[in-house]
Amino acid sequence: MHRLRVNHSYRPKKGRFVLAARSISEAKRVRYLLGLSSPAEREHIESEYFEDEDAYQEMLMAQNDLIDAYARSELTSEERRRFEKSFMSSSRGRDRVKFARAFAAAVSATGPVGTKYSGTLLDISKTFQSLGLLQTATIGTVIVFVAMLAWLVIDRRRMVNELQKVRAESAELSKRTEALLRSSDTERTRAAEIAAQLADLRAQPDKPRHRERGTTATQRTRHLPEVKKDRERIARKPEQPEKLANTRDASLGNAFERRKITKLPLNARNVANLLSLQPATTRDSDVAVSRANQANIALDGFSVEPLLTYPLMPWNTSRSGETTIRIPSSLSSIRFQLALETAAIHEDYRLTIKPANGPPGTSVDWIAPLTPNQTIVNTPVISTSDLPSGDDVLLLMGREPDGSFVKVAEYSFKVIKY
Amino acid sequence: MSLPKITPKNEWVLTQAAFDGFLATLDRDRDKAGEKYEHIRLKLLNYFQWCGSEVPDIDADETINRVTRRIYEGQNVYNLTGYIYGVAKLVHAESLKRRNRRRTLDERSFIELSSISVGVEMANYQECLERCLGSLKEKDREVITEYYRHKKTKKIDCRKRLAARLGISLNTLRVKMYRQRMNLEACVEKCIARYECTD
Repeated sequence: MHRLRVNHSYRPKKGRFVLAARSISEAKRVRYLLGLSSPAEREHIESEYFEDEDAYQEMLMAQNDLIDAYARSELTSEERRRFEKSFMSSSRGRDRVKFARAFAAAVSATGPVGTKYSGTLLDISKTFQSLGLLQTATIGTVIVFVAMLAWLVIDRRRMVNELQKVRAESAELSKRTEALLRSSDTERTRAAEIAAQLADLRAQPDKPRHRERGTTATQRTRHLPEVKKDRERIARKPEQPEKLANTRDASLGNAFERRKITKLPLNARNVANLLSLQPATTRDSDVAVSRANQANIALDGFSVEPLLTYPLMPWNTSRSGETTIRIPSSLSSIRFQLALETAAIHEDYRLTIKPANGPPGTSVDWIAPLTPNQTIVNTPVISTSDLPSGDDVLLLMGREPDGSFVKVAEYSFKVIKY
Repeated sequence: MSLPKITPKNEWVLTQAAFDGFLATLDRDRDKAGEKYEHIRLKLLNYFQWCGSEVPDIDADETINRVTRRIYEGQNVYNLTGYIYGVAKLVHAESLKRRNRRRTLDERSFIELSSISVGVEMANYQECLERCLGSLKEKDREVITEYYRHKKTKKIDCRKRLAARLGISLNTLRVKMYRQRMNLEACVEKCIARYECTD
């Protein structure tokens, strides 16, 4: 509520109608209607509501409020006197006051008409409350319904997508099954052929060479009907030769599946050794007639080229030059995979790399948590600049409980940088 | 085209041609001009009432007559609203002088008479009001009753709650209620007029 500066001829008490106005402009309007404004203020208000439609509407509403306040006896005696002077002097003003009184009585709970309406008013009030509750409930229901609808649509879309995926996978599996069946037939045929050849070889020493050919053939066909059938089948359905050459581009490559990795006997389970199964590739992952940076090795789909791991075996110990490590100049760091002769018993290790006939060089400490029967220890990343070219020695030491280091293994290798 | 003959202020009588000219100044479209005329007259009525005029209708009509005459006589009016306001101030000043000269009624006796008159006609008003309230839509009746139901501080809180319940601002509610009340008042006026005719 704003504190107003009032005309010196009239000082309304605090809390009266003029001071109860919500804003300064509203109080000004009420003062104008009661004839309390200064001439300048009056001029300003009048020109404003003549020019501005909003100001005029505000004046009308202020007038209504003032008439209401008079009809409800909310004005002070001075305000009341001034109101009567302004509004009751015309019949129009008196009519408006009459209406306001009748209306106030009609809507007031304590008024004469209000008593008549009291029951209705109570019902109206309740209706208002129930209308509010009903509105809230309706909005809530609509929100829940929309949310459920959205969820159903999303879920349906998800299910359709899943169904499509399952169908695609099913089609893929069917293809694989067909391929496996074909492969199985081929293998079976080959096995039968090998068995037949083996039987031939076993049968030959027991029979005289000059008269065995006819009878052997007869015997073979008599004793090995399955082989005969297989041969006939092979003769009838010659297998299509497998496409071994890549005719699309100049790259060479092969993927080692999980089955090969897990089933093939690998020394120390070193996956990198599988590279030696690749044509023209050495165990050290060198590819014939190519530079090292032209080969790309991926493990589980991720390129492992930037960090090469070089395995060092126990037989390298004290045998200089057993292993040659070729390090391309593009590599900034490598890692060693050290195979132990016995299971590891240390968790803290230290390695030292030095030239075979030189002073100790780089020394690195690290922690390698133990697993049961662990015979492989991976070293931390070692900068290639710390590996001197030529014959080198890697000394692996384990840390004892008392903090001292003891020698675990020693590896000799030759480093060639290019 | 010759200008109309200028006559003394008191002798001049509003003519159809002059009034048509005034309407043409308000708007080219005659219907719209009519609406604007009604609005200006209502504004003048209120102005004279707020100024305490005993006869706001006569003063409003006198203002319009003078403006119409000036326009008819060829005066260029650039700001019609401002011009009307200026003329209204003069009319009001003249009206005050006349009232002071006559001194037919002193304020006190006038007010007492008015109060008595109000008391006598209250019964008719209440009956008319009940009829007019009954003719309103149920929702409108509920809202206007709730809006004007309480007094003083309680009234303010109640109106805020009502506005919140209806999902509109307090000012919007105030404007709505003002219009609703004007309709109700017009309905009651018509009803009272019927009573006066039968009396």
